Amino acid sequence: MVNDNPFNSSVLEFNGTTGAYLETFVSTGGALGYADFLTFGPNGNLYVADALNNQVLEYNGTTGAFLTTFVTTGSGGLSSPEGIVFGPNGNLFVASLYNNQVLEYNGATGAFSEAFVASGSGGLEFPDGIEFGPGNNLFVASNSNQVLEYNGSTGAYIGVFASASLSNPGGLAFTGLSAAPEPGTLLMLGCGLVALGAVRRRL
Amino acid sequence: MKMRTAVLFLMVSAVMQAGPILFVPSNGSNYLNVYNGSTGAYVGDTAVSNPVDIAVGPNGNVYVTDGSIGSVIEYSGTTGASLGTFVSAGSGGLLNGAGADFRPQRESLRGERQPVQ
Repeated sequence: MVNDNPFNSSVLEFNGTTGAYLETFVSTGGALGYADFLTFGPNGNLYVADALNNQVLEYNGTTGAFLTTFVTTGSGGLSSPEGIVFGPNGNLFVASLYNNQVLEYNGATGAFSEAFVASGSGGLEFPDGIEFGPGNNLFVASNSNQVLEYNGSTGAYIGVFASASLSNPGGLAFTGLSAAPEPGTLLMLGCGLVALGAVRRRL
Repeated sequence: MKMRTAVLFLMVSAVMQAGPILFVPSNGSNYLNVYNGSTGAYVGDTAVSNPVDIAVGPNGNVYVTDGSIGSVIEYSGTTGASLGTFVSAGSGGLLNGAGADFRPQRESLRGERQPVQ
């Protein structure tokens, strides 16, 4: 488990089973200004949002060695990056706090792709955590004390997903996503049973 | 045949009901809020100090960072019940916990076959 330390800008690693401290994974004094949210990419590397320098830094996921400034300073208008997550299309999505957007970057090169969620769409204010959830839609924690849902392919606003008792939400997380079978799985299950019934009737 | 259909219906229903859960650290109110992950309906909450980020562990539990004292608390990924302190305050020099994530498990990439118990 990796957990960052914003005020002295380092990333610490802890044993994922016991929680015991292992090592300083990314030390202070490098390119990292103010470490905020972080995520591992499909390539196993670690990506850290640097809220001070408006960039996303890439580190070797095993050694913690600095690799590159993946999203360069202010690219696509990035202003105080918060939540970062790789989407189902392999691209990197970043919550841009001060301009109320979610920006999309090429997952391989870090090049700016588009403003996936337009500024203030659906009432988005100072987005914090972002996560892809049920239906591969994008869920965003908004400082309007809501979790807002957007179409995961187009970024179009769908609606307020959750808001009860919520005050200044931070990150967000779904569990049990794999427990609900995909519609395709149910369809195949149905076809299988029809076939089984037909075979039994013939026997 | 009717019996078999009924059993199948119950099995499918059971699988469908074990659906997703959404956890959201509510930093302004010092709670970890729990919502139905399919409908967004509010389920409940657990008190927690200055929660910032949350990560899902390989065991399915959720881990919440404390942005003031630098600790990580573990909660059941199915009920939201607190399971205690996972990383103690200031461990390894942790000042203010912010983002947290688990390194993806690499066992599957190595293609090792685990011995059958």
